[in-house]
Amino acid sequence: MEGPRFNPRMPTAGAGDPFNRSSAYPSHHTPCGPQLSTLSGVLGWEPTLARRVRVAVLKFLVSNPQGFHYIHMIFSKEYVGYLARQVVRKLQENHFIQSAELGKVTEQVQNSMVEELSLEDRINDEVRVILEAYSDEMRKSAANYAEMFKKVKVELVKKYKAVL
Amino acid sequence: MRLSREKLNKLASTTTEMLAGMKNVEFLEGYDDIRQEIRRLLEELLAGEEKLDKAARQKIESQRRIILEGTPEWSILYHKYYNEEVKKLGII
Repeated sequence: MEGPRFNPRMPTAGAGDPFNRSSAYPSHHTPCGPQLSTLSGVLGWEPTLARRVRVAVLKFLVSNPQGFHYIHMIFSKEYVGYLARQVVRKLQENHFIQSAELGKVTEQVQNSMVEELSLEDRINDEVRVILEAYSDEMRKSAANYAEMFKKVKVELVKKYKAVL
Repeated sequence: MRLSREKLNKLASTTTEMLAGMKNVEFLEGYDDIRQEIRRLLEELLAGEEKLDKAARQKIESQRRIILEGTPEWSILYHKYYNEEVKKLGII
């Protein structure tokens, strides 16, 4: 499934580590721009820093086990449930699909829709966690939070090939 | 509509893909036909959703004091009023 899902089994650093973005940022490139050059190490995702982010993400997820996906989604979970029910019902009524277990199908469609519609929120949350982990460095370098937020978000959207 | 065309297409694609992967679902039409039908249905349904959003925003605007969008208070009120509108339609 596409999306910035946290995987506790992922390696600390390396090609398979979604938090190790060394491949996304070549060593000569500082995505934050010259005024934020002190953060180049941060955005270069050195293994030690990647570990710190992982810890921060884990803490955040542990403290928000339920609300992580649904708090700010563009539509309420109830409305998405309604969408899923209507779509599945009409597909069956109009002879596009056939299923004896419409309830289960609807539930899966709802989960899939919630997953897709909450993608931007999950990315925003991940950006916040990343920036939080480097708040000291950002303060020292007088980095602009909004600007940093935008840049990190753009990179995560590219990384996850997300459609927002 | 509050979703971009790309997002709507993506939503239709992921839903179709998910249905195609389910053992208890039989496709009576082609994959692309089903994807397009889902897209059409979502477009139709989401056109109605816009009214819920507008109604919730209007309720916030009608408060005595100005509540700025983006603040936690705005967000809480928005979800409260939005869900009230959803209930009115008998969706929940």
